[in-house]
Amino acid sequence: MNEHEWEPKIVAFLCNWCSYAGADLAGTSRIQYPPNVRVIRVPCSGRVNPLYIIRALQEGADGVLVSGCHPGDCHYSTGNMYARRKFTVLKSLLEYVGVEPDRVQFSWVSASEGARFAEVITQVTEDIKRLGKPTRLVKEEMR
Amino acid sequence: MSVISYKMLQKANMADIVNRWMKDYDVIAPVKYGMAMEFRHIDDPKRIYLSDGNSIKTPKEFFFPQNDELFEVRDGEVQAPISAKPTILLGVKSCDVTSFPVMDKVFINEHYVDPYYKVRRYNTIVIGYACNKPDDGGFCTTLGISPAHNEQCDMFWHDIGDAYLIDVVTQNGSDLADGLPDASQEDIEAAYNAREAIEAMMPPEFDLADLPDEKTFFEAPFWNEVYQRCIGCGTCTYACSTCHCFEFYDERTKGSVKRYRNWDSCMYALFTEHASGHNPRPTQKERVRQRFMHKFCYYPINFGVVSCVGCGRCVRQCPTNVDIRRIIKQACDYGREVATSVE
Amino acid sequence: MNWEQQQQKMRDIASELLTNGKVDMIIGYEQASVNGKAAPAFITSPEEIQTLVWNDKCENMLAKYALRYKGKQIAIVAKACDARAIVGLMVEHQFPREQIVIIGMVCPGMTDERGRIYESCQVCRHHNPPVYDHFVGDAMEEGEYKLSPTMAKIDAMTPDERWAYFTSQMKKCIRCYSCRQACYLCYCNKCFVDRNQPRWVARTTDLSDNIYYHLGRIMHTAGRCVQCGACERVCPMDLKIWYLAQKVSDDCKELYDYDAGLMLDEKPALADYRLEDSQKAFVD
Repeated sequence: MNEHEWEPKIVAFLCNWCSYAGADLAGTSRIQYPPNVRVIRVPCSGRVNPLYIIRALQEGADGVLVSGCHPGDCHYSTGNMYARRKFTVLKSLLEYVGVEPDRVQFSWVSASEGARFAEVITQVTEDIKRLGKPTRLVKEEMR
Repeated sequence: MSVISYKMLQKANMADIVNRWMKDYDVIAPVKYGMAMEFRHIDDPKRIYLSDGNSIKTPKEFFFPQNDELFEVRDGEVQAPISAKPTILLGVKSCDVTSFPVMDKVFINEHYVDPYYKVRRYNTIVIGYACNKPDDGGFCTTLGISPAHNEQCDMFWHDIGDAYLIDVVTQNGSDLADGLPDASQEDIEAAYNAREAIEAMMPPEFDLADLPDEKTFFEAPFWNEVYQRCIGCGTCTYACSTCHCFEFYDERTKGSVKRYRNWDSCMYALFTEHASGHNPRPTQKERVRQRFMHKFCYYPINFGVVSCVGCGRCVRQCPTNVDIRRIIKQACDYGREVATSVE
Repeated sequence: MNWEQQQQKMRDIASELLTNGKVDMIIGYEQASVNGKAAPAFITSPEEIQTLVWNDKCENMLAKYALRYKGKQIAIVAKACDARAIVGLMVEHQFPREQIVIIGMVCPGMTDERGRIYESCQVCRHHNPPVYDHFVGDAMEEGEYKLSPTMAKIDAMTPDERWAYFTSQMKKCIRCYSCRQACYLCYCNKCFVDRNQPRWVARTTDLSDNIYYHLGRIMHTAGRCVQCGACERVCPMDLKIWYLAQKVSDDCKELYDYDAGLMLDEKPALADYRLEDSQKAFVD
């Protein structure tokens, strides 16, 4: 398979109340975006354990996106506020050990931002394509 | 043990002879690892590092690896290749040499033969290497093992300055030593004087005959204290040359499932935890007691030997200094005490 | 005060506490049998007080044992990082303040068998126990932030070199979990690596799984870690892992102005938030 044919698989953890609804809106509004994401619906971005992200990469995901409600808009008031600190530290740690910064991304997308969801996915997909297939964290036997 | 012949090997010629062996054998020998050394597969004989200290990990892993792949199921087919390349294990200290027959009792006995262990064990030629200086925490002499004895191996090397004096013990050893010059009487005597010297440096620390019987040992009050500092890390069991407990573990890979036999440790709560959540060894006290009881009570009952060779790795590596020598000494003292009070 | 004077004062305090029945047990240090090190000691009678020692080899993290003796009245000979660890555990409601008598030791740093000061101690900023019942030693000045030698080395590396360094360490791991067992923060009833329904991580020493374990552990302790360095000191394979803990702690300090184990009424960094927290990890 040559590089041009390679389409990355990106695991997206989307919070039920904002980003998932945003993805829904993008769909019902018939906005086009790359078909590279595989969505996993979670109750809240705060529900996403850092280990889920590392596991996704370990098992062969080419990139990971976590998206939730904008700060202040969390359905559970503060879930995304904790998530923000947790992921800031995680991203910094992953970069520090040598994982490419764009391999794991985080964003805020509200239920009304269908167009923004499409933009984020387009951007993330481009980033991952630019990085190419992951060689770090992925388990040898899963390749 | 009776020795077939005594040979000499100049240190400068070691690389040559190892190179010759490498044509027919996989050679495993110590290489430098940080401040210590580690047994590795050798591709360049110049890296071989023979010294007085012992390795952090034991060479047992070449017979009984930490993750032993037993079989793989792919497309409904079970694949279990059980084979081993002829191997030479070079530079093994007396204590570790003695640990192999101790482990054999578990893996190759009249009731059960472990094919994975057996094939590696029987395809390996063991070359022992004498200690000239006791390692901190080692107590082999207490268990009747000399730091420079040539038993249970095919060949045994003594460092005598510019050369190694080689005790050729078996036919395999004799074949390997083919072409080496015979040693002079003075060199043999020098090596044996060195052996006596190091034995004298390590007087026995306790007498196993004083150990109490199983019930007394189990119920001894000192267990309430010795476990306190243990943090349950399992370093002692992983570093041990005779610990052999394992668990089975299935690993999914792309298109197949592999079954592994992994090292396990009695220091972990998980080791005995039941599916119900009940744990018959609920605290670290029971786990610590198990380790020492297994080595010095159950193993002798089952197999007739203690499952400890006094290499001292657990003593050196324990982060909180749970010292096996002190505990067994305490047990011996207690055994004597109980014996006298009965009289 | 030098080591001997501190030791004497510590013994006097310990003796007083035991003789007057104020505590059931003193957890301190005694001379170990090898390596010239000290080892944890559990003293219950005043006659044993003389075995207590205090020197530059008292490297064990004693706060770990406080968790085992919940409900008992104990005193702990706590060097500054142990005292901070105890504070951290009290912040996490593991035991009430009244239950532990903290014999706070001013600590200039611990050294290894060859007399070299440990990396975690070289860059330690808090030499004085922040919370104590007895203060032993002359208060030292709080240190400035220092970059550890390992971190300085890492900072100068390209991402590829960092990954190479990181994996060179991770390859050595034999998954004995000593680091977890030594860490006072690792008190989960069941660690994620021990769970099998669902199973979080393979139990073989595969490189990827070793990384998963270590990153998982570092993230679990993020914002709570006092950087005592016990994880690295106990490692039988000499893995360099402490720089990861330090990196995370540095981030928490820089981004959230939080230093673990200094205040009894401050929440750990990742258990707290501000509306104006950094957005740097998030795409615009």
